[in-house]
Amino acid sequence: MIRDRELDRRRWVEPERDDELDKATWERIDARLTKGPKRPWLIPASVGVVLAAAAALWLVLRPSNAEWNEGELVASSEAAVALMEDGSRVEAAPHSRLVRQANQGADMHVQVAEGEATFDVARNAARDFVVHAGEVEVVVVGTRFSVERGDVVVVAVSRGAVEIRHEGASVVVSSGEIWREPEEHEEPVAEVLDRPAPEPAPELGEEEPSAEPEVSAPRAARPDAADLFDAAQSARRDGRHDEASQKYGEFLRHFPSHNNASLAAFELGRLKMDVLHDPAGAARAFERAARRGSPFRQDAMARWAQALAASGDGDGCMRARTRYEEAFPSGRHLAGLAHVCE
Amino acid sequence: MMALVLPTHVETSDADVVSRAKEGERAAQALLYRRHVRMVRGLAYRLLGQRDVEDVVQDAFVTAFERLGSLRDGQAFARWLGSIVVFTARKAIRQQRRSRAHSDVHLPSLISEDAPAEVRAELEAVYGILTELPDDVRIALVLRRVDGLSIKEISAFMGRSVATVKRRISDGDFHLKAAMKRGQL
Repeated sequence: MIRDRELDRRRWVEPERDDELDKATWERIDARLTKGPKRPWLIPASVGVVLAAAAALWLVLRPSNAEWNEGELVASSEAAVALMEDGSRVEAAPHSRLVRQANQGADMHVQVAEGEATFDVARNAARDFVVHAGEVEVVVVGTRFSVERGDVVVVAVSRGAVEIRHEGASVVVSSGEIWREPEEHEEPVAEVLDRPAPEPAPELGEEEPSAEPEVSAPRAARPDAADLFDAAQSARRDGRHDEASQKYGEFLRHFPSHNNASLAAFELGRLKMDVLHDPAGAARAFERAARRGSPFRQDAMARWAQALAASGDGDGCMRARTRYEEAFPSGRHLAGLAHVCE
Repeated sequence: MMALVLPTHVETSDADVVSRAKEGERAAQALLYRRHVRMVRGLAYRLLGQRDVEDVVQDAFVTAFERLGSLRDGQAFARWLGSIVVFTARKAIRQQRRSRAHSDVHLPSLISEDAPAEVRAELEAVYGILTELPDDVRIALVLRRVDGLSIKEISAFMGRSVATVKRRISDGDFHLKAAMKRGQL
């Protein structure tokens, strides 16, 4: 690892060496590994058992009803749902915190202080419902949308429309569209990322998943696209990362040409890279999300190169970086990618 | 004739050990643990203080061994493991914040009494403001100002772009200077 000797102060902030503790820790790790996360012989023998288990799991994992506590809604390990007095519903994803600001007249203001939240806002033309996330304001009338506050703010609208105000500009984002906060060095006017169907010829990747057949297998054999995508999104928001990864993968296999395929691939890449520590899998997903026509193309291409670097594929990283530079000669990730493959 | 004495212990590379551990060889996993537990415990300690360190150490190694199949370059095991520690510590910091548990953590007490006065003053300044900082700023500041990692290494550890890491460190430095100016430290 590369360290700056002048800044390396580790020796002054070190826990005391304790060989007995290290030994005991290994014994606990060893026991957990022996127990193992997967025991295939425990797969339930009948569908009925599976359904019963799923129902029980839902009862355990469903978002709990919560109250605003001194103006805060805090979700710890599971999602928390609260109702507003006008009937609007607010769901805070696990490890998220919302702050309700003092009402300004009839208007309602909620701040996403940390994490992610989904709002189902009751229609009421007489007041504004405003969600704040950093420097972004989302103004709604009656709609359902989510706001994720990470490095940048991402707003996804699933019903109705919202107006997003950011740095003096405003833009209307409608159902099925996603808006992402531009980073510091990007143009201040935000772009709306809609979701066009990807073009048939892939620019990237060695394999093109077969397009959905016009005459498909019996419908009962295929899951519903919207249900499967929603299940993946819910699992991701609730922190069930392995399940979300599996659902996104299943969605991409069944519906490779769906309008949400790029988003599913991008989310799958983020999960594998940031949470599941699978950079090689992330690279494949980002490659899929980076196809021409994808609204996430620029971000996905950059993360594709980073994932390849993290997986130890230096040559692949160089090729991906070159593709990015060719596609986006003034791209916002150029500086970040400058040394990524070294 | 003198007998040829062979060394009883031959240092094998992480790449070799990782490939054996990928096959599920528990002795290889144990060897990786022994090689890197000091790094993991130290990193978790500097990021969290005393609280939750043991949980983070266990969770990080279990995650690493369960997901070892996704690591293509075994020689990069230490860096990859470091990124898992940072991810796991971030979750712990977030949980501490939710439960308000961070208020009972006195981070400046982590600093060795043997540290030279000027180093101690610097470290006390950093640890004096950590609990007030956003999680990513806190992590970036520790990795830079205490662990002395390069920006690129921090980027890899945190899973953030180089540009984002620079902004986080810059934010941390800003808070540091502001606190010192206010005479809080």
